[in-house]
Amino acid sequence: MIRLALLIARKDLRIEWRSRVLVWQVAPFSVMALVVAGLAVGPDVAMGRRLAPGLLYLVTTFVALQVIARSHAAESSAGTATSVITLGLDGGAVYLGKVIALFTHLVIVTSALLVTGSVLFHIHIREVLVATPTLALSLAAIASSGVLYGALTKGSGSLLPVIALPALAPVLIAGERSLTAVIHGGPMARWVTLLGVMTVAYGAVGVLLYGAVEEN
Amino acid sequence: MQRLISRSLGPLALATSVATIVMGLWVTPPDVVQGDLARLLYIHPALAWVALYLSFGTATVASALYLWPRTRSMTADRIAEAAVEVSTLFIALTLITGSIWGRPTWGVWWVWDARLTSTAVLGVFMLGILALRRANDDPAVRAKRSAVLALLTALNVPIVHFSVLWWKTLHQGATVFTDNRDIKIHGSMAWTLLLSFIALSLVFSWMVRTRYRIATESQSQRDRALDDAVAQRRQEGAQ
Repeated sequence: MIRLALLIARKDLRIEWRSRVLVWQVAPFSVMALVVAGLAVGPDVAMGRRLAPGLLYLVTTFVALQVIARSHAAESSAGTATSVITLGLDGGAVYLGKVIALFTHLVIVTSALLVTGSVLFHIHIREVLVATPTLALSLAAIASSGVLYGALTKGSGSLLPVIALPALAPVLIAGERSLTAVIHGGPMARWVTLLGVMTVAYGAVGVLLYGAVEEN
Repeated sequence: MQRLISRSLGPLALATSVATIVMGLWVTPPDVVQGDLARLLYIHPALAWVALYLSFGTATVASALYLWPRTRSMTADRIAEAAVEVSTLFIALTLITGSIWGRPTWGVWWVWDARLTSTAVLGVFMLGILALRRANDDPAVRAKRSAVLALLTALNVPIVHFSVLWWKTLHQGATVFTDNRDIKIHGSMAWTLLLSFIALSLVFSWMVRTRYRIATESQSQRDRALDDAVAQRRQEGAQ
């Protein structure tokens, strides 16, 4: 199962590497979105630092939607989705592979966001490093749910935000709260637990049901 | 027996609803603290019970039955669809009645309270399931995808239920199922609250049953129209 998952992940990453849409289009868009958010907040340094966690996670959530849509569109246009279904591969392994690939895509885009965010909103490098595990867990939660929602809305892309945004809302809240805890202090354990539970729950449901969604 | 229950569902729902209104508005006394405003709470918790637990629970079970190959049938899909539609309506009513109660109590129509926000998020989820159903023409694809989405949404329900405990909240705590089993409602007020739960559960059952019958009849009409079109084409070919 793990071997098949890694093969699927490699396939998805290779498709992305060849097109480079993520690097040349999605990552610049995410940076621009954060800059525009900064303009909306204004030049107040204290205000910027206070709102930084929320803005970072808000932009991450919207960019994640783009990355999820992009990941499914790339596969459809390359015709590989049909091939994968025809091969009759284990749905759970395909799901895990796609989660790994999506997680990697999200890490790349979020890295650009973090660097920009730390400069624009005066977040210290130490705070960024402390927040990295929680951020990674947030991205894992987004990836584990995003693959499922992307598959469900295949063929009707405009539906993706409608059904995925409510699912990502707890990630947004927990991520924002945990980053706020790192920057400004406060309890963090419960938010990390929430993110962990979401990742595991979506992961389990995904392994069980992804095959059923894709067989249509 | 089944027919009798089925036929008496509507009248029973109507009778218990009227009884709840009469009890809630005229028989019960005003609350010591909240006055007449407390009368709204005879329907608000019952609406939330139907919206978040009864109808969504029905949709989840029906969706799971559809996804399980041995129990897969369009009956399960139609029940899930009906339950999701009713759930959407009841979530809207829960939020509206909560908002009407919240305005004089909290001074605003909406607060970013955990339970309110989570209920609203669940409402958006329900709209998503309905939108997903309308985006797929193939009945099998539609049924399967919406069943998966309903199960995914079920993951969100515990967040709704436990959010009061996880986040700091303005929402009123439990009145009946309290931690120390100290029931905070008594007499005619308690009976009216219980009656409202029964009434709205019956209303839910009647609505789901009616919606299911409409869906079944629509499908039969479509099948008949298709059979007629095929027969007509065959006749044209024979001539």
